[in-house]
Amino acid sequence: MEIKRFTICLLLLVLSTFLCYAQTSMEIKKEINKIKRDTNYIYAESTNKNLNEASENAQTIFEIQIKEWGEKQYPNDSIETCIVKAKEKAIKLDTRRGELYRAFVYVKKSDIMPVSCNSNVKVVQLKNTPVKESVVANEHEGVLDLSKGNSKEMPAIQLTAAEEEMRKVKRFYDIEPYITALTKSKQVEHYGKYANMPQDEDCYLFVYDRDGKIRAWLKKQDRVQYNLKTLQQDNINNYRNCGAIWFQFK
Amino acid sequence: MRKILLFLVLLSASLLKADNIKITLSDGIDNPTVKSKIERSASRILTEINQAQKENRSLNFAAMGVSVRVQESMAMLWENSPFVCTDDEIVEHCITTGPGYQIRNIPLMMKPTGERVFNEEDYQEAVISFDKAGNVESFYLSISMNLYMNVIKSNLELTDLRRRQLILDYVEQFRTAYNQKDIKFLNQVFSDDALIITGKVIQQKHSEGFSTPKIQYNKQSKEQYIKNLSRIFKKNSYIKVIFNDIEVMRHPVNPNFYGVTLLQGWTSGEYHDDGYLFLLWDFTNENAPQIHVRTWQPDKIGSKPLDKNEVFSLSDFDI
Repeated sequence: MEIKRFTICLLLLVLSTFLCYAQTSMEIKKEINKIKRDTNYIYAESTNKNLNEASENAQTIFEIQIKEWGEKQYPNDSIETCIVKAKEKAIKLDTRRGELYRAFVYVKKSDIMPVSCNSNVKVVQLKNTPVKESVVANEHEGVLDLSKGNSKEMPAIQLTAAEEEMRKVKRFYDIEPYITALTKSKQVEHYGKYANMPQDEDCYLFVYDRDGKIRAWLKKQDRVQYNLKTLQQDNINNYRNCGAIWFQFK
Repeated sequence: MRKILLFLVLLSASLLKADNIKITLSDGIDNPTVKSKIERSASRILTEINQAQKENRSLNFAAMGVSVRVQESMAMLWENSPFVCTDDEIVEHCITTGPGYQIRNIPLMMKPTGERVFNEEDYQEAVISFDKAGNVESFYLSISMNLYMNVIKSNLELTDLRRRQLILDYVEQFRTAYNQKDIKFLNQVFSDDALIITGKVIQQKHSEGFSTPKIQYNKQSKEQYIKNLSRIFKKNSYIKVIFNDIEVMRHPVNPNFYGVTLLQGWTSGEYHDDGYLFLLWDFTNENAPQIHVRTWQPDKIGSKPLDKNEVFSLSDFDI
């Protein structure tokens, strides 16, 4: 009698676990179909025996879809912006298809639009021209003095509070909210993509790579560029395959 | 207690059972009438597939409402291996093609019966093509995901990617045409002035008395090739072509031309061979791409694999 009860309980437990799993799997499938029905999303999926391969394939197809969409929506602008944002914002769902794994990745289109319609970012294919820098170490005091050895006298760099704040922006995804906040508080008047940067005016630049990491915070002053992190003279030409956004404080 | 158990078993069975398969096209088609027709047709096809698999029987084409041509091609696929649609609801884009529309990425699990050797992946994705009015034009299996990813990952730029996807689609239809003995498609896809080269291994006798294997090449016109192929199709009830490897190269000067190299396995009746198939595709008219050159070489000479440098490629032809 006891064994009989135990067997029944065990069967019920197994069945309920199975039902719970089936329910979860069904819920994920419903969620996936809901996203696929909604044209506000870009998605990709892949089914494979191996979960990692399914995820990798889905990610590859996903980036291709983003590129295609970016090219159509913003033909005059860089699609790299969309790709970088998509990598940041993408959501992944995994489920089973029989014995196989189904990887699904998606992102909302509105989350990957460029900075603004008027000031989209352009990824610049830059030549790797090293900056000719004449830096003389002060042998007595061990301090880098950029003013010596240059044909033009350079001021020592001291960061303002606003520049310190600028340095806190670490990722491409954080640039937009940063500039939007400054625009709202009327601290920033103009901003835009590198291709539209005014050549004869002072401004600041975020330089970012294809993974969305900020590689440099530059200050352009009197046509000379300084790196706000290294506090040394720098140049955007040093950052190959990177994009840049410029802005000007009022 | 028995009644409770029975209830639970029935409940779980009802949760897992899939009746009608629902098809929803998320976008890609403006005409609501045609959209609805396509969704209903696709639903009927996939529902019948699952029902036939469940009942372990042949496909009931009356339930599908498809043309004789589609019936024949589906029957051949089913004969090779029955299959089942894994999802009870499918949501996909509707893709506009030259002649009409397409639904892709339909998930199928192959259920080979064991009557025939089955060397393909268990999971395949199907494509259903429709004409402009929403009538089913074809049902075929798309190229395997591994091959697809190999080609897609090697794309250079977006236009190139779109072309590569188109090429893969046509390569798959090309393979299906052999499997389904669709001489009409093959006649149409080869250009009238197509060059067909086939190679076979012969033993070359030397004056010293020994012989070495070498490949002898034979040139045919399109007309000769199609005539010979028709004879092979009539003689053999069963033909199976698979592609195990694929390489797509764009012509460096003429971007409409692509060289596609495939490692092909051909089985017809008791005969089987493996070899490198090279196709020179012309996508000047994307709605009707054509093959200008088709070459075939055995993958081995004797027991030695064919040197990759010996395999025909784009550079061997003046375009």
